[in-house]
Order: sequence, then structure tokens, then C-alpha cells
Amino acid sequence: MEKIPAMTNDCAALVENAALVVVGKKRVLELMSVALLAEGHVLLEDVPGLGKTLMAKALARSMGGSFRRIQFTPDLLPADVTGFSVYDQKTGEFVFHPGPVVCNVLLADEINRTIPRTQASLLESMGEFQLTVDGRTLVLPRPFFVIATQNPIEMDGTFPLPEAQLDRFLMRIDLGYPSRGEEISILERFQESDPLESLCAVLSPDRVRELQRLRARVVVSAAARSYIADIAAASRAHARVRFGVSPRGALGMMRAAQALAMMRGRDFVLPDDIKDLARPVLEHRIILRHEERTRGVSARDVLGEVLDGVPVPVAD
Amino acid sequence: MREDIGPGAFAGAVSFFSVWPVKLIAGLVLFFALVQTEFALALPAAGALGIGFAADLWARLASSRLSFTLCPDRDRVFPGENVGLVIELYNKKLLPVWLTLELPVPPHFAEEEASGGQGFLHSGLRLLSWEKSRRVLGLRARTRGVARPGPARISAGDLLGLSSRTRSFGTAREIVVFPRRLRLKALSVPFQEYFGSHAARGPVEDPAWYAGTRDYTGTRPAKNIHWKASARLGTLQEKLYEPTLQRKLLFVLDADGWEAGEDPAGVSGNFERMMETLGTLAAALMETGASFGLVTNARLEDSPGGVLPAGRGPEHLGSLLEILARVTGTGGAGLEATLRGAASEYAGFVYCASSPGRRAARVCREISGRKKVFCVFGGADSRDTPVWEGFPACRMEDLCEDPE
Repeated sequence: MEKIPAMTNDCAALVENAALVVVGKKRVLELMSVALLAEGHVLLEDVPGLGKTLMAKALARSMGGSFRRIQFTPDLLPADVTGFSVYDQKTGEFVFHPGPVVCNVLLADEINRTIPRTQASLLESMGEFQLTVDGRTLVLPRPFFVIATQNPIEMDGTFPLPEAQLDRFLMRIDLGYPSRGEEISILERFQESDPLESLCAVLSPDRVRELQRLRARVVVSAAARSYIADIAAASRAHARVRFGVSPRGALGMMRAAQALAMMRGRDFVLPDDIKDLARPVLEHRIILRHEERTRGVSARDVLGEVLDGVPVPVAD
Repeated sequence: MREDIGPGAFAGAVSFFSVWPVKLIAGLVLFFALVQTEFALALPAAGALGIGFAADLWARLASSRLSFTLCPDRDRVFPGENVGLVIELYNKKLLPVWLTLELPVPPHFAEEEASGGQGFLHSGLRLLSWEKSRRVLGLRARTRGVARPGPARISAGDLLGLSSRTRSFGTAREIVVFPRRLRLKALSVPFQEYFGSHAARGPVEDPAWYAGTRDYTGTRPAKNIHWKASARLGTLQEKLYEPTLQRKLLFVLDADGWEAGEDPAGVSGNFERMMETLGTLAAALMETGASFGLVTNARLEDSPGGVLPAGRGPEHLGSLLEILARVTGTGGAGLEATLRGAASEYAGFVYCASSPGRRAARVCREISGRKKVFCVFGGADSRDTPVWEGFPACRMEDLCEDPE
């Protein structure tokens, strides 16, 4: 296995490079890098104007590879995402024109503005890294990383992501407003030019793929695996929960914990890594009962109770 | 809420040995006994005085460095559900403490049977050195409303109970009891007939549903071309889409004209029932994915106004139920003016009022126009009128019934 410090340096370089454009959101960039290394996808959710799209573009540019963007609109059709076959009169055959989903980094901007049918066209690509159109299956280039953004406050003309789609995102991340000092830094940095234009790649798709393979070798002890399974089971058994964390969620948690351990210079997972990632990885997978949501209970509250109730494994 | 109990915060000491006339008399007896060298008299007087001062000192020390927390374990409940009032105490000193806790049962709640049924929740406990204690006192939500638990009275004293010091506490946390949820009756006509078959047109066309085709004019993107239809007809055809429909309703609760009730706020049983009916209808609409809002002119407790903009989902239903829970009185005015500003975005209205009358007709005409209005009447003098002034109408009894 390659030395851990070299991998950690590459991950740090990715975050640092994106941070040249995005001010004060290192934690978010770190989480996005974790998702990238864990072969997952990210949903950035917050109110307008906080830099969701900018952050996605900065990270995409930093990791190199092909980058495509889809602006999700209400009239977008599944074929606009996946691609479509066109009849070629010269050859007498149908020719497949791949859609924007065939790329390394896909920015799905304002994903909740399109209809559920179009949202669902991303399911296979996100879950299985392949695409099936007209009965033909196309393997997507790797790494394949979807960064979706959505605005949670608008009601009219939006279509909330269904649970199946949400579960395919490894993480859902809130950005939050910058502090006063960070806001001043933003004003300074963007006063004369857009720093995104001069941002260069610090990694390549091959290197990212290699890091993803190395991430899989980070040791997850039996105790850590049990801890993840216990959290998932406790979330399903919670009285306020309709649907708890899925096995896909538990698997994603383990991969994300491996990636975080690697980024922190370790070749083994600690329970702290799991606790640290619980909110972005598990919160959106917990579907509460309607009456609990009516009472104002949030998945965050329930996840907090679950984490408090599951004993953290300790070293013998 | 966290409170640190300081020694000066407690009021008065209550016991035979600690009241000042007893101490004064014992002191005088001791003084004269010593002057007269009557040691047989001096000994009990000194003992009584010593016990009094020791008990006082213990009570004073016992009440110092105590930390107290009072917090409900949930703050949004339906009638019939239980709430636990979690009381945490921490004795941050070496001296053990004997405490008595008294908490009045808040309005809109009843104590659970295990609590004694005396209108107070009692709890006695002992805290050793540096000990923490957590007690949960059970309450059962009884009626709609908003309540703040407290004030709690906590008494700290010595081992024998000769002296104690007491202090009252409140809490900033409030518990909201939503209106009771009723059971929706089977309606004689489809639900949509009552609550808006004319759904609001969304801001976009829905590309999932084709309404038909027409000759392609070249003004829209080529992806709208229907290739199979074009091949069949020999000319380019473009798809025509259905508009996206969103059911969006506004509940209007007119608090004017209701009969006075017997409770202190004057809210009648019929008005309570109307709020339960409205909450039940809103819950049923939420299940269908519809958007809904609320306008009311009722008096509200700790709420800036009775207007809830349109929204959907269980969280939005919670906001609507909370407004209903905060209603403290009827007889408001100015409904038409509020509606003028809020009503334009809605496709339909559910107008809930006491009885059909001139005022109700005026409000309905105000909000109707091209919109659909459905009236629900709940006052004592409401009549069975399927159609009233051209609007579909019914009594609230026809919509909902008590849950089993």
C-alpha cells in the first residue's frame, strides 16, 4: 500500500486548492473530498447565494477530468440527462448521442426544480456507475462524482427529491452563512476578478481513482463495523422513525469513514470518524413519521438521540 | 432552563426551632439561667437554641450551590398524549441535602394517575455530596392550548426537617397542545369537489404528460418534436404538454359571531370543534400533497398574526396546528382586509365560520371571484345547507366525527 502521508497530502492539496476560491468552508470541502474518495455523491442544500454552485465548480476543477453541468429546469426530460439515439440515414442505424451524464464530475444544479421522472434518470448512474438507454448499457467513466444542489425554501415549481434518490447521495451538506470576517474576505477576493477562472487542477482522474482504490484498503476493525451496524439498527428501531438508515447508508458510512481516516493520515478507522460523519451521511436517510414532523421533530434530533444511545466501542 | 440556586435566593425558614420568637425566648431563658447559675434550666435552653441555629445553618448551606433544570421532554403534543417534565438537580457541595419539589399541573394538562391526582406533582428526594438526580414527572395533555410548566417550588432543608428554605422557579419553555384530530367522514361527493377540482396552474408545463400535438412552428426546441407523430402524418409535429397542477387551498377561520363559551377566554365548544375540524381537514390535505395556508382573525397568544402562507408537508401542518393551538378568543375583525392581501395565489378557499349570514356572504364574495369557495359552518344556529349563496356548504358535523 502506498504511504499514507502521500495520500493525505494529495487530499489536503485538493481541499486547499478549492479553498482558494471558496472562503471559510474548509469543513464542507473536506466532506466533499471524503465523498469523492468514498465513491459517493453529494447533495449541497441551503438557501440561495451561499456559494453551492461555486463550491461544486471549484472542487470539480481542482480534481481535473471532464466536467459537465446540467441546469435542472421543469421542462428537462430524462433524455436531456442520459442522451438519446438518433437515426442516421447514411448508415441506416441508430446512433447513440450520450447526454451530459457521461463525464467525471456532474454538477446537477437546482435538482429539485425538475420533475421526478427526470430526477430518476440519474438513479442508475449514481448507484451503479452505468447508463442504460434503449436497452444498451454504457459504463460511465471513473471517477464519476455527482454534485447536486438544491434550495430548500421554495415551494412553487419544485419537486422534492424522493427517498430513493436521496438515499443515493452519500452526503447531504448544509453550508451555512459565512461569518463577518469570512464575508469581508469574500468581498476582497472577488473584488477585481473571479478566482475560479484561474484555478488549476491539482489532481487527475487517474490519481483520484487510485486514491479511491487505496481508500478501500483502510482497515475497518470489527468493532467499528459493529458500531456502524448498531447505529443503523438503532435508527430503524427508533419510535419516531418511519424508515431508518438503509444498508446502503451503512455501507456508505463505512466508506466515508475510511476516506476520512485516510485524509487524517491514518490507515485505520476510529469511532470518532464515524461520529464525525454521522450527520452528513445518515441524517437525510432517516425518514420520520408524519406526526413527528408535524411536531417539529427533525431527523437531526433523532440522529442525536441514536448516537447518544449507541455505546461507542473502546479499545481493550 | 438552568438555574443555579444561591443561598440568598430562598425565601424564609419555617419550623418551630428556627422561628425568631422561639430563638429569642430560648436566648433570654439561657441568659437568665446563666446569670442565676441555674444549669438545669440553661442546658435545655442552650440545646433548643443550638438546634435552631444548627438547623438554620444546615438549611442555609443546603440551599447553596444547587443546580436545577426543568425541561419538558417534548413540546408539541396532541390531546391524550403524555409529556414528561424532566427535572434535573445537582448538589455541587459536600453537604447532603433533603429536597421537596412541588410543581403545579399546567393548564391544558392533567397529571398522570401515578402522580397522586392533587393538582400538584410532588417529589421528595435526597442528594448526597456531588450527586446528580433526574426525575421525570408525567403529564397528560387534555385540551388544546399553550402552557408553560411551573412555577416549581423547591424546598431544601436539614435531615430532620427542622428548617427549610423554599424558592419558586418558572421556565421559558412552552408546551403546545394541538387541536384534537378527528376522523374524517366518508364524503358523499369526491374530495376534490369540496376542496378544489380546479387546482392552481403551476408556473410550468409538465413534460411528463402530453395533451396532444400540433404542427411544429420552429419556435420551440427540437426536443419537443414528436417524431412518431411526425412520421405518421408526414409533417413535423410538436408535443403539447399538460400544465403542472398544484392544489393550493387557503383555510379561512372567521372567529366573529361565535357564541360565548364557558371557559375564561370565552371560547365555545363549537368553536373548539371547528378548530379540530379545520386541523383534521388540513391533515387530510397534507396527505394528498396539497399546499395550504391559513388566515384567521381570532385572538392569538404570543403570535404576531393569524396568517400562515402556503406550504406543504407535515412541518407546515405543524405550523398551522400551532396557530390553532394559540387561539385564545373569538370575536376578531378585519378579516376581509387580510384576505385581500393573502388570497390572490390560492385556487380555492375553505371558509370556516359560525353560521351563514350577511357577514359570511360578504367575506365569501370578497374571496370568490374566479376562485372556488367551500363553506363550513359550525355555530349553534348553522343549518344543513348544501348550497348557500351559490357556494357549496356543509356543517362541520358532516365532515368529521369523534375518533374511536
